[in-house]
Amino acid sequence: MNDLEKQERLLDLLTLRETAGLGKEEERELEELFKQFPDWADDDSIALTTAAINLSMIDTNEEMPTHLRSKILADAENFFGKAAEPKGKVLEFEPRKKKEREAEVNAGEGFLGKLINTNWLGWAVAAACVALALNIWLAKPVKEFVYVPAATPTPTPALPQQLEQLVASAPDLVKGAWTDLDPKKPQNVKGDVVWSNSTQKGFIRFSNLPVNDKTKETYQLWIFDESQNAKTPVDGGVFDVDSSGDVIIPIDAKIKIKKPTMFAVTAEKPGGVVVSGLEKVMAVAKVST
Amino acid sequence: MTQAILQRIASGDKTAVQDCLKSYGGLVWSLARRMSPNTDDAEDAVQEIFIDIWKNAGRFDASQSSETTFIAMIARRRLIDRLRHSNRRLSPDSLEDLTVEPVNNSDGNLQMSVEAKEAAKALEVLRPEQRQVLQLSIIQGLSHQEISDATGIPLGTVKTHARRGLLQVREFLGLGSMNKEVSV
Repeated sequence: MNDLEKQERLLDLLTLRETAGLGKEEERELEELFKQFPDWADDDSIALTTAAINLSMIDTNEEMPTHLRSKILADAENFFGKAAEPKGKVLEFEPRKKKEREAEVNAGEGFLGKLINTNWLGWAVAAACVALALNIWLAKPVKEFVYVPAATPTPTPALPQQLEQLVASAPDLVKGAWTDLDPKKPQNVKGDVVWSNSTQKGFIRFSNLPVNDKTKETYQLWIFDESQNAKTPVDGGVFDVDSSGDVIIPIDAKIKIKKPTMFAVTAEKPGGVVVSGLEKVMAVAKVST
Repeated sequence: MTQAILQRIASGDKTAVQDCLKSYGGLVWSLARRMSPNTDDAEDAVQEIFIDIWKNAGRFDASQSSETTFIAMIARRRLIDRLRHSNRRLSPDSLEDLTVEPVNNSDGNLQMSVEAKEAAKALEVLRPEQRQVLQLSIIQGLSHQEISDATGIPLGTVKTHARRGLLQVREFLGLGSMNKEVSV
């Protein structure tokens, strides 16, 4: 491999690292190439470029849940508390995972759980500890990172109400009715789709999409956008149908939609696919304003 | 004064954490939701990402990028790492999760970063095949081989599109340095 080929390989690996990620072997190969091209070792330009492209393609205005914000503030308290310790050694801090915390509670483990699981003496010790902790807690000053929600959370409306709100408020609503792709192979799916470009929100509604066997297949929505190649429509999310009644599903476009021209629902393998072969199209809806 | 948040964090200013969350919480959450198999996983990822942000705040160079793009880079790296260690596909439960809307908070609207706007312009002038390859790799996280399999484009051509497309956008953003240019 000459120098030019090596540089091309280096760029391929850097691109992969910032998109799909590298395997162990590829990481080793990249490290070797960094020795020959050391200027690239600390270069973030490819990573920043992919981040900028990513940001240009998605809506980043979603709001973080309040409980998650509180967890991060608690993490910050621990992190900066540890970082302030004058030990001069590498400090590692890992936030506790939700499942770990839940498993600990379920198993009755953890400091208090272990106390409770011992015997009556454990109960007495636990009670004393709780009293002592309460006393200390009441006496100590308020922590810097205690998060107080500004207001009581507003309950999320049910999907039919969300759909109604969108239809009533979105000035740029587009609609479409589900029809068969091939009239010779009718699926007789009824319902419609609504989409608002300004809010990047929409819903699909069905009255008789067949119940699917989740172990064998799932339904997946595809959005054909004017800016996209028709062979690779935008993934609009996967969903299952559990009953034969009316179904309303919120659309989950994986990238920002510019001008939708058609929606399609396909049956795919469980979990969905990245690119559909459009082999089993349940229904299509052409957009009308 | 959002431009100073990471520098304040790097200097140990704890109050900058609140500002960081307010300015970039929505951005990190949006990225995590799209690149995680479900909401629980996205929440764990966001916690890890903010730890990464605090650890790497001192590396931020305002002359190279905006804070928004730098934080998106940190977030993407953590999310890609997590995806490599799990099943990359979204689960059917994810749609159900999406129906649980977050509660309102006082976050301000995050403006698209300067680089993102420039990147959008740069993408417009790329060849459609290059744009398609970049989209499949950056948004969907597909490997070059997976893109080749999905689109029918030969593997070597996929690599070339990805490399050339990225370098063109990088040059458009002014992120390339002369001594590291390669012939493409």
